[in-house]
Amino acid sequence: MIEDIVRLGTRLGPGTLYGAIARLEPQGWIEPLPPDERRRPFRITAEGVRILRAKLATRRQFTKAGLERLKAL
Amino acid sequence: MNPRLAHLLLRLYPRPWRERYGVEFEALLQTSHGDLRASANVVWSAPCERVFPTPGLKIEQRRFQSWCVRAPWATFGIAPLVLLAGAWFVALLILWSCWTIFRPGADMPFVPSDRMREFFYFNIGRSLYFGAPILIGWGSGRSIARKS
Repeated sequence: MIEDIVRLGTRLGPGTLYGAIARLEPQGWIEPLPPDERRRPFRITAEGVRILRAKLATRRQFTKAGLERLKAL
Repeated sequence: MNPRLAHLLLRLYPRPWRERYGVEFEALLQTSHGDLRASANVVWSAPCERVFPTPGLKIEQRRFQSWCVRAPWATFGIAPLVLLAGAWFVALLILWSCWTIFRPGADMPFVPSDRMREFFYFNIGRSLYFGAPILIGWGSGRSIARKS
């Protein structure tokens, strides 16, 4: 996940990553998979997909509206 | 990252968090690059987790009972100040009583003396006066480390 974010041009520290995981997991938006040695992978749940899709759609609307406004300037 | 540094950084997090994520987080730290940046990120994130703990993580009952742990201002501020005031009161009482008992006519208590009992009594008060801040600071730190 950290590597994916690095490709977008920003860095995600381990504290920030696990801060996010620790908040997403109790809400049921991600779930742990069986551990791979000492590391534990997580995957997004169906509820997480629904929430993420809704959030991204909202952001897309904001972005679209912002870009249209900028065109007028 | 150095395993020892990773373990030390993990200790900054509260116990319920460590019990849930400790093993995997330590493994991630050990494989992460950029020690300084990763360490700074953890040093910033861990106190945030203490101030705003993750909802849903099981908190031990005894931690709820300990108001000192729930209120850092009490652990770091009021309790040590009260203890220090008490220790200094006792120390000054010893020094004053030593002065009035052993040196009733002296203008100041800091005069040389070779009487063993007076020497010990005076030095107990003086040691308590100067040692109290160190002892109380050490005790507070140890208490916090044990409860976290």
